[in-house]
Amino acid sequence: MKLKDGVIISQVENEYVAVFAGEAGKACSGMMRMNKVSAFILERLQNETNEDQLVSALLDRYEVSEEDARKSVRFVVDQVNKAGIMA
Amino acid sequence: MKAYFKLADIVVEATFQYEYLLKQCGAYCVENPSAVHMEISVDLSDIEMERSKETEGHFSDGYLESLAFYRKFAEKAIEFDCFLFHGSALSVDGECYLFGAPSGTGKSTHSALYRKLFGDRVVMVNDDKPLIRRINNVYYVYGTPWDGKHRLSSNIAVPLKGICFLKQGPNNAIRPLSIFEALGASLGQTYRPTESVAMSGVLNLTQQMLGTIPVFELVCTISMEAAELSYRTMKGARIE
Repeated sequence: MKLKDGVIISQVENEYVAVFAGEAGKACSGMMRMNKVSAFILERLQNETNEDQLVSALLDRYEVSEEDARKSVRFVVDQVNKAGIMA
Repeated sequence: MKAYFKLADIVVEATFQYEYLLKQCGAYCVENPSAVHMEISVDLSDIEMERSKETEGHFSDGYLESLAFYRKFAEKAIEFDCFLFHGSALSVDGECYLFGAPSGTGKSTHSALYRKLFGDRVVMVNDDKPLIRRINNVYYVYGTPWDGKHRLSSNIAVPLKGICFLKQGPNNAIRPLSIFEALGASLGQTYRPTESVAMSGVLNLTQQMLGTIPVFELVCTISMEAAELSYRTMKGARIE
């Protein structure tokens, strides 16, 4: 899985927002607000990947259990699908 | 035909077909400019693209060409630290107050209350689609001839003092917005370029603007009290 082109992620204070141009912008005109972990996952989704790869990337970067990592990945993927910005 | 327009101090060499755009931009025409910053050419496919976006009514090719031109300008304007904001902008004593809200909420009505309240002290910058441009860290609001159904605008640049997003409500209440609320509300009223680098630029510039310009939400009735409240609050506000 991979995001549509045009997802722009930016840090705002201690959080992150995403806005959408290009193909992603045609599907979603809103703004997404998220924490650092979600932003990390979204960033990774800009290249072709899968759930297991995302989970192990999270485990490499953060001190989290595999269960929590998987939960975070599924949550973000679910949000992305709902927003219609998955390619 | 070909003409030069100066929008937000950006000189555009425009190539187009219909008189409509020339008439609309009359006050913004420049003859023999010493520099050209941007070139925009509108063709039939751009006009058809605008037609496909219009859901209500049949519009003339000239009108659609004008929309297409402004869209093309808005796509490129960020290269000049400039973006299009959908809102009603007015100047009181040389400071610009900008009202944003979804269409039909009452931006123009709120601006009209200011004109009643302050009379000649108010100059309409643009009642619908002004440009905001940062120059030497000052955010200026510029008049443009895309100025809404009442055709209210002036070819001026006024430093932005405050932004207020309007909502209709049973009584008047105003509150400052958090950076996230302000960003979401501002981006909702901002022209969003389709190209990623440009959109990223708009996001950055908007974020930086919100670091220096106070932003509020006004829940309001149509009343002089509402206008007094938004003016008093924005006038006195300062970001430390």
